[in-house]
Amino acid sequence: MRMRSVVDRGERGAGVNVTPMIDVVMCLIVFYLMVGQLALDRKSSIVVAETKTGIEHQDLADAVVIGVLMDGGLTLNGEAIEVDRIGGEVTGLVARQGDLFGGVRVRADEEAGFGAVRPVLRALQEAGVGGVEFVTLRADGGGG
Amino acid sequence: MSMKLNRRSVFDRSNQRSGLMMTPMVDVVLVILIFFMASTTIAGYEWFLQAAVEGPAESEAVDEEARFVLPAAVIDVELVGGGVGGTVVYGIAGETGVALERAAGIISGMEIGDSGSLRVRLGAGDEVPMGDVMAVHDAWNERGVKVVMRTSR
Repeated sequence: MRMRSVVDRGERGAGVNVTPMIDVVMCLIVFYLMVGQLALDRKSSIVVAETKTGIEHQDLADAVVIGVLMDGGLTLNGEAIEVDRIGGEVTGLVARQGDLFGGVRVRADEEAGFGAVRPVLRALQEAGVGGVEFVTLRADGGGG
Repeated sequence: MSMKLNRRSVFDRSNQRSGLMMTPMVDVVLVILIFFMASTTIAGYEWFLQAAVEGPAESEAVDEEARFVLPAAVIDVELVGGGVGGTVVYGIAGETGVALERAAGIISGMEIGDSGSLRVRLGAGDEVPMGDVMAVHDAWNERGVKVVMRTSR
């Protein structure tokens, strides 16, 4: 009788309990995703200006985001791009997305000269884009 | 005999499973906490300043039915400098240039009748930092005046 009880207990405890392992692995994945995202943001190193006014949007999905780096370099949706290609790319996006086109957002570094932004605006104007939204930081801190 | 063995076995099991298992709950709460912290850090605190872009596309946006209405008054504002001496703003105090630090105060003190019928055409020199351009844009936006970004020098 005693032997049978010990065997029973042994059968119940047999095998690896994977629940904590999955939880820990999930935590690690979330952590590395987060760090990777932050590192990417830092790599692009765009620090936008603070403003007291602005509008908030939630529909970020279909917007084209043009980044202007401190050194004048440009990115289109996170990928480096030359200024003379921006007009063509935006025209293509407008044609493909049609009514779903979410507009153009310019994320310009506060230290970047306006000389780096002007060709972008001109390219957008030639592509038929009549307005842009400049990404800024909320001066009041925001977040609620 | 076997009855006694079964009862004992059931009792053992109930002893092992008693109490609430906190570990999975704590793990899940931790993951949710990290997720919300990350989404707040990455997605929060940003908003947008809207501006029209000067050119044919911008003029086409004018309502055709309102073409007989008087056109909006336009103020040309130009930012110059951006070097050691700082940025100087022209167009808000007659012919005189104003230091950027004073520009926001002047703009907020201006008497503007109908801000909807006024437009500011904002231009800047190549060296003027975007932070300064956004500061002037912000000041006009605060007054409810639409800003048109100039693409010509």
